[in-house]
Amino acid sequence: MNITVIGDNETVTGFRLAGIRSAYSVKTQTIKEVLGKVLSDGKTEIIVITENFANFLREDIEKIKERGRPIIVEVPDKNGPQGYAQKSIQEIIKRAVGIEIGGPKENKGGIK
Amino acid sequence: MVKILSVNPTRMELIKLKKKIKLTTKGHRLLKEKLDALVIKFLDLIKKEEKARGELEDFFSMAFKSLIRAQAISGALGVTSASLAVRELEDVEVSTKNIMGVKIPQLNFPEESRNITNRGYGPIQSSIAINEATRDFEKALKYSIEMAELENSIQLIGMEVEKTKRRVNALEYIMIPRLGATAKFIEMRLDEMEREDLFRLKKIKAKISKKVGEKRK
Repeated sequence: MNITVIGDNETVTGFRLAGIRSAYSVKTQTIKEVLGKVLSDGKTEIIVITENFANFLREDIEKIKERGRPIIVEVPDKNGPQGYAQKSIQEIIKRAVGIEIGGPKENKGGIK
Repeated sequence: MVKILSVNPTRMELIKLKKKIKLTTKGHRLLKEKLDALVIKFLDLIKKEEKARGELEDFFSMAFKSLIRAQAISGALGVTSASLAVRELEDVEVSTKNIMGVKIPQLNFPEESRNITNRGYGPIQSSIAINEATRDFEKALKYSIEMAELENSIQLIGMEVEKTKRRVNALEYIMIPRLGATAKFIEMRLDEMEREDLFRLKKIKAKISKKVGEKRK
């Protein structure tokens, strides 16, 4: 149970099918609470979170990423990639190297 | 004007300083080499990440398509009930790898190909669409874990690059010039003292020879 998925209904169902037990389907009102709970139980090594929810809690997520543990990975949800995850990486690159490498990718769009 | 350290202008301090300069220069060179190595690794990881992110995004939209197809065929409830019956996955093994003093995670995904018989949901209540969605999401999970490893490594190495760069710059632009200026200051001060001594001796000699000359008269 060291992988936890936080996302919308579809994402959670999908990852449950893949064999993840600790998957939390959340709404924007409850996301903060759920993330706090996941962090405090101490068993989770990897948090898979959808980009939209991650963006909702951008500051908290960046803080956890800087700490290094647990590892957070942002995945697109059913609306397709939003580019937030790439932006987050872009920010690290800018800070470390001083220049931007690779421009932002265009939104490929998902299924509506 | 470079700030000078507050030291006594003695020969002993000068020797100490010169030793310190040697050490600092060596440390600076080493750190710079470390920085270069880290940046190379960093750029390598960025390239990999960009590619992996593209693949992950493409794959996810496909996985969602098959999930929605499954929901259309078996009903959202059917898919959910199947998803609750799935056997839990084994834990991902987390080990660490050391790159230039940065501990980056290595995630070992338990590689096991599941099929309809050992996924946990009954093959009769479920449909082939559910099975396909499951297969796709298993792969999506694998992509996500690879992504997690890459992104975390980039984060950690990026922070280390930042830290090392700051150190290299501090040595190059503050420490080494400051030590050099102090050493120069001491050298000049010692030279000045030597000249003063010489002058004093000459003055005394002149006085003495004057006295001796007067006595002889």
